[in-house]
Amino acid sequence: MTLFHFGNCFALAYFPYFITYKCSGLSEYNAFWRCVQAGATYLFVQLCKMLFLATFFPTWEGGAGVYDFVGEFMKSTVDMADLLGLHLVMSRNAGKGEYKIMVAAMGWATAELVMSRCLPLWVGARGIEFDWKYIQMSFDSNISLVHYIAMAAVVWMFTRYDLPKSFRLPVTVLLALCVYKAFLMELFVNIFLLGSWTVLLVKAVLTGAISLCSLFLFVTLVHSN
Amino acid sequence: MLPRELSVAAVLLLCVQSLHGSAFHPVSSHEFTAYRMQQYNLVQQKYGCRGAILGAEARSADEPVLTRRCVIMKVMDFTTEKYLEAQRQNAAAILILLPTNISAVPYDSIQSFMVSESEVLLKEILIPVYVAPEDEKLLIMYEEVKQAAATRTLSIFVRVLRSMVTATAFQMSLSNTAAIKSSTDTTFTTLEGVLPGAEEDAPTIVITAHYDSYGLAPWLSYGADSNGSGVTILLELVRLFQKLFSSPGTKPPFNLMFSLTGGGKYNFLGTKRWIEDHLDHAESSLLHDNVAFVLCLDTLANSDELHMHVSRPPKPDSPIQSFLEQLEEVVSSRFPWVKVGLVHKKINLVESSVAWEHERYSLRRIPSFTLSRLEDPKSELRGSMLDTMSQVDFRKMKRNGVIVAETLARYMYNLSDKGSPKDMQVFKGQLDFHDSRMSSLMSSLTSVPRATQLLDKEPAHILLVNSLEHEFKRYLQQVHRHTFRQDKKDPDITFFDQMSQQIVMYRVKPAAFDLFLGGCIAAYLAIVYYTIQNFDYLYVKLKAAAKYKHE
Repeated sequence: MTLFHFGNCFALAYFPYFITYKCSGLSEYNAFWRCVQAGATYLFVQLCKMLFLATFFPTWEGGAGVYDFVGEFMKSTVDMADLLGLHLVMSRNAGKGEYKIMVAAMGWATAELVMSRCLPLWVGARGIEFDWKYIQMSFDSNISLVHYIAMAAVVWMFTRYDLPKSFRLPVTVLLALCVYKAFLMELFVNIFLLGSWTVLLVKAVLTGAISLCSLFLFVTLVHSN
Repeated sequence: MLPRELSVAAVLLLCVQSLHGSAFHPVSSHEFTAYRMQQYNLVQQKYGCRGAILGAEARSADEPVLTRRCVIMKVMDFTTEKYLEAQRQNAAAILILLPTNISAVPYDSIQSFMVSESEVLLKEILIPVYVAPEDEKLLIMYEEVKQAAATRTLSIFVRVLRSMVTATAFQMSLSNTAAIKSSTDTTFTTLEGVLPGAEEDAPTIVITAHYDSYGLAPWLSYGADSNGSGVTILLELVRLFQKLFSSPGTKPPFNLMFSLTGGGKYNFLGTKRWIEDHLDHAESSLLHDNVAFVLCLDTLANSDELHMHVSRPPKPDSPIQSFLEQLEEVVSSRFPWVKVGLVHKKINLVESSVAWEHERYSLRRIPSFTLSRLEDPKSELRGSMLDTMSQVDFRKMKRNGVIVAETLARYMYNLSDKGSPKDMQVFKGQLDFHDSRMSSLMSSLTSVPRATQLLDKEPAHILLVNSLEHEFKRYLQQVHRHTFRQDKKDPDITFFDQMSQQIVMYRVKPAAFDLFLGGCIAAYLAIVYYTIQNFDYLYVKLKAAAKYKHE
């Protein structure tokens, strides 16, 4: 549409990140460069994932419209690398748990936002034609911020030595849910043939549930002992 | 150290970007091919649409204001009144959506569209008129545009809200903005071939049909009935009579000359030039003298009527009168339900248009007539985009072919005088009409739009004419291909280019929508801000819950 529309989409996509950064107190810790480092790790991990995918999962050229269940599952499994990357970022930062989680998640999510949504928005949202797609994309970036914060928290909990036995199972389940969330979403879309707005809603609900669970676990873990 | 890191970062960035490259295709724009309405100058008279440039918002024809909008119509709702209204209001363009499956369109709609089509083709229009085959996205656009027109009657509040929030508009634009160029280099190709008779100076019967087609948009004029049916029957006659002529026992005392003429939809210019070639330029020609009659086949693929069109009433004992008698005999004995009539129409020298092909011969004093299922030469059926193969009734076309063939045989062998029974069938068994050949001829003829301006330009069209020539060579002798060029200074007909264009359709929103959306986003961000500010509250609650549980 117009530059105004691009502005709208941009604000919708980026302002929640900015607000989170400011309000979470990260700005007071001078965490900016730490976030940039986390972003660089994101890039590195994505590159490794891509190389791995290109080597071991060549594009499956089956019949059109057929959903390759196993192939997609294996591809999602490669997303485990994200967990490793987040762990790497958090292990290199010293500090309180919240601080480590927030730095890793902010850097990670911001890098993803810049890398994967900036250019499509710039190219697409300014075009002559109108599509809800770009507004949806911006909402999606908000969801992924929450998703990465939850994911970082779960990874942090998982890697703690003093994790009580009773926490082991729920944390592992949450970890698996985080990794296979994209896969589950795709499966939903393929089975129920959801529209783009419904997909967004389902994604928001799913991410909200995961993050509430992990928040509860986190609070219990930190303040119970 | 730093430059190296930067370059690594740049490479990483490119890689990640390429991963998401698939997200770039905008689904909200749609490119489609649209075909422009006829445009030609014939005998100092201009026809068709003069414009080509398009860049306007789509509107339904039901809206009251159409000025500078692109009016969208389906075949179902296309009428001459709406067309003239759009022209009067100075619309930017008219876009007609043509269904891909014409047999699914109700018969009444087809009839009324054909009538409107022939009416609008008689006049000139300055705004561009395009025809596009329907596709999924165009139909969605049509429905939305039509809905927008339907909400016109709602209250002002609803309308304002609608125009700000839910309204979508469709912008049509054409990337090609070059001016229309005229071309006078169109050629007419006429094919001829002969089956020589038993005697040296036997009289000649000429059987002819024009093979070009005509319709609102040249690129969509397949002309199955007019005049694919005439060509199909003629080619089947060629095959059958070749069999009769090839054995000495059945060789009749007539020369049979076949010709397929181009330019038939433009006053039979190809026929005119072909006759001139034979009479004025050739040393000796079968057309010079002793022509029994010329039989023109035109539009024969439907209905239970056959009309024999003549320019002057046939004299008693003339070959045409005798043919007519034979025709009536064949029809009354074998197909009594078919109505045969003689239609006499004087050639109007004042009028610039030539109604039937035989008039070209009559003007040169060659006895001739046209056989057609149509009574009125100005019938809308003789030039319509909806005249496709699905409209052809193959049984009736074959029956008409049989009638022509039987009548010719009866006439040439003089079977009535020899006392043969009236319902004798010459064309049966070995000599039967082949259904499969007729349908394959028809489908190859309707495989490309045979509009005159395309026939000598497009490869597929040239191939079609070549295959017709090949078909002639297979059965006939002295096959000639006449290609008539036009006089550069004083052309009979001038055509124009840009008949097929790529149009891009964009989905757009009004400017007010951006403001509205901006407001919504600001509200959303405020909520997000408030939530994050008060996150502590949730955290404390959860902490208390955890403590309580722990204790």
